[in-house]
Amino acid sequence: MASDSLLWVDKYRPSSFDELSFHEDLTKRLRNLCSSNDIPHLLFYGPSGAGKRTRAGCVLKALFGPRADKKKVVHRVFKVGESSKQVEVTTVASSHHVEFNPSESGNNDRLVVQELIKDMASFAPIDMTSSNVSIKKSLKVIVLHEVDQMSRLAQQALRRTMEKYSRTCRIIMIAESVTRVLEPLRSRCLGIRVGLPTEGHIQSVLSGIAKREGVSLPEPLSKRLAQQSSRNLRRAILQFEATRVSVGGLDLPPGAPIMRGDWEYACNDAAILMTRSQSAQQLVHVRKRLQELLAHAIPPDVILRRLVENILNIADDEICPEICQLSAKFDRNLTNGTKPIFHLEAFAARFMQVYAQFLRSQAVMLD
Amino acid sequence: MYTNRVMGDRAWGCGGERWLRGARDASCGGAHAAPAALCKCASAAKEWNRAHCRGSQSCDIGQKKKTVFVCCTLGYNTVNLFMSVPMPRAITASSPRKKKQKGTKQKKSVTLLITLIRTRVSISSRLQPVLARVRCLCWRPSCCAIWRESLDLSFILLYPDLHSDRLRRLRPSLGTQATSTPQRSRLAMADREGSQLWVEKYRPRKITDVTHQDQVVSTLQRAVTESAGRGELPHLLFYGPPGTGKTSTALALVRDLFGVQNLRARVLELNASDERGIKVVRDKIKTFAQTTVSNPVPAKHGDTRKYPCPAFKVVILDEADAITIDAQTALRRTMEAHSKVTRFILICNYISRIIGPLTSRCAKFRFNSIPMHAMMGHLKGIAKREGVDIADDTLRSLIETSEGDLRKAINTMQSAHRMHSMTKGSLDMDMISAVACLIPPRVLDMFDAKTAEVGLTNSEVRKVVDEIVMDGYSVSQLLSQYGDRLLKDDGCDGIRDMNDLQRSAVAVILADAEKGLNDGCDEKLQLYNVASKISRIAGMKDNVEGLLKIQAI
Repeated sequence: MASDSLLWVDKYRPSSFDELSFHEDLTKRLRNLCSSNDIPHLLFYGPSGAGKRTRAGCVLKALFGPRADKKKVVHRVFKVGESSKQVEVTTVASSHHVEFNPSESGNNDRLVVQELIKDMASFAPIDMTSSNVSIKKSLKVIVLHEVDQMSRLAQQALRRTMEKYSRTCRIIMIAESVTRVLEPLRSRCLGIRVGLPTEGHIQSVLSGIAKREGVSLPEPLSKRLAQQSSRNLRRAILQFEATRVSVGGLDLPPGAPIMRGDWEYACNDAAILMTRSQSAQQLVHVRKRLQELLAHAIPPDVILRRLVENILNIADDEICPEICQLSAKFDRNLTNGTKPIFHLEAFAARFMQVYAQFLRSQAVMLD
Repeated sequence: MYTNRVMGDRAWGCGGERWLRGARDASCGGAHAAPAALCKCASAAKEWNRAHCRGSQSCDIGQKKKTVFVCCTLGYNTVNLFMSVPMPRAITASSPRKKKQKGTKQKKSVTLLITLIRTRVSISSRLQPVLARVRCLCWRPSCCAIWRESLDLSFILLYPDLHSDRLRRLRPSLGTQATSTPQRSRLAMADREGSQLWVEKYRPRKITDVTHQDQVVSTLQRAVTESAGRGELPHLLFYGPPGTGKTSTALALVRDLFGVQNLRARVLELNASDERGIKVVRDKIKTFAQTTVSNPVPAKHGDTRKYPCPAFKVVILDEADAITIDAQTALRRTMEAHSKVTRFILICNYISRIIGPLTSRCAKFRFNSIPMHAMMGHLKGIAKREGVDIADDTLRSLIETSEGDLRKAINTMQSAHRMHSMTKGSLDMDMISAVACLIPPRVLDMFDAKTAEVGLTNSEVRKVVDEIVMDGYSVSQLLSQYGDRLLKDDGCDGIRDMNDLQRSAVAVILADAEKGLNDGCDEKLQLYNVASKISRIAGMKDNVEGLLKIQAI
């Protein structure tokens, strides 16, 4: 396989427990778990870029050995009931496991759980090669991504399935936050929290990659990369690679500019605009930026969060509680509403009003 | 041959009596074919005959011996009957007339049947009882050897635990033979108690095994002992918080009533993992509810004597609060019209989500949260049998965190045990909270201390929040555990210094944020808000107006 064409993120993704570099405690526990005769249902949770998926992959590898690596993409289409409604699911499967993202089917995710997962769960994998099958090898593992994005009904439907077919199948769920995973599902799983790596860990991973790629990575640059990534390892590696590509050579100068996404600049821009001066004219400018961001398919909640973070960095500490409160309020409106642009604009307008008031009162106090 | 003797050249349509005679001969000396059931067989068979003939003009159904075979085994369930149509047709298409060809051709047709059954089974598990009965009829030594062998295989496949010893006795070679087939993994699964969840393993099997729901148990116990032959069981509605034994009680009840053997024929269990729209209520449930059963059922394993087996069937609708209102409305009449032959057991967490007309048709039972001491005893029993080393104190705090939910407690214990089975020593609370997605006290203390510290700037407070979110802790869990601390005085410094007014202000804010999180809001932004508000509240001890102002927003 042409490993040159892979992104560094994928190229250096650890595939077994030995290669994992941080959370040693967790790795030890997982290793324990896999070496015992049997595993429970698992629920990996933690922020993105922490290595949940990587660890799930390592668990599979530890359970089934190299056969878990032989993956292929399977498109499954099934009909629901007698109606002509068709649901399509793209899965990645090996002989022992299937992984897919049920929330991709949108409103049909309940049907996917009811039909597909139940069907897969009720049959044990066919193992012909070895005569002495151990328990864990005769299990089928279903890996579900983004469980927190699944609808409530779909999660409900998973409840009994997880109990009923516990003889033949194990489910590994991956979720960004357990808040949105139903309590009954949580209690059926062994929860495994994967926190973000520290900046030191990120630096050591980056220098490891640099060594293997033959790139010289000066200490200040790696430190800046780690800081800018806000502890998200995937982001750090991607930015590292982007920086290398933009510089061109193998020797990176310590002051090399770190590549960031255009949208981040745009968000930053909007935040600066909003804090610099507050007028109707300014709001029009901000609005243009927001619309541009939405047009580039940046999720509205990401925009809002980034905006708030930037504003909080700029604004005075005294006004921060109020900004937090505003952001919480408009975040909720955004989640419940259907037109994101309205709520983002409303946030911008309200913030500018509050901020102008605050500045005025400060000025009065100075006088 | 036995099939010839049974059916002769009798034509199908020529009346129930002659057919009946043949069928009675066929059914192993009539041991499990009660006259009533056979009558129903006959009429069902006729029905089938009519349906089957409609499309084709060929009237030689009389030759379709295997068809009869399957039909009469189906007995009382017409749904199964129609589902089985393709397989007899396929067999009889290649069914031999002359004796000479019999060996090879029959072999072919039998394999065909087996594959058909297998593929069908993968679609619907409802064919399993059919196959079981086919298998029973084939048990006679006079049956063709091929029949037996291939059916044995598929039978083991479906009922590994029931008949393995019987099979081994009959064909010692079969055990090894069977393991060479792809289905072996499933076969091996039968011995695998180890891979089971403890929740399933220690589920009560009999109704008297259900603990701590005394009122429910005694009422239902009476129904079981007295209902023998009389069928005095109302529709039931079980409700209560999760993990209190509702499903277990329902399953134990039907097991006590009918015995394991008859369970599949008599009980229809539907939960949220099954499609339960209005269409299913109209078709599946109604059809199941309509068909009558005989009393006692033609049992082959002496279950009739052991269990009361009253003349009705049971539909268990688990997680009934997830059924749509429309479907519930459609259920109303079905429950009433067929109440003679079918009883419903509805199980739900929230009785308010079941429409009034349904609840008024049922006898309602509330399942209470299981008290501390009872859970303690139960968990200790399991821990002893599974060899879990756990101290009483840890067990107590485990039970406290599980809030009366026995299933959660058992699951947590099992997970913790598995995670740490390699390391020596007993389980402690850190291990428990790690597997149960709880927030460790250390993190809570930090949050508490930082938010309550006077004179801390907002950016410093936010840093704590960043830390918590980045470490991947669940924010809603944090809020609920923080809320618990709010009521106690033994918490960390931050909360202890607050007066009642301040605490109530914090409670309002927690509630607000919890709603936001439930709506799917961003965890970080919500927690920013909560933290900065708490830190403001902590700063204004006797400032009533200020507190009210913060609360109001």
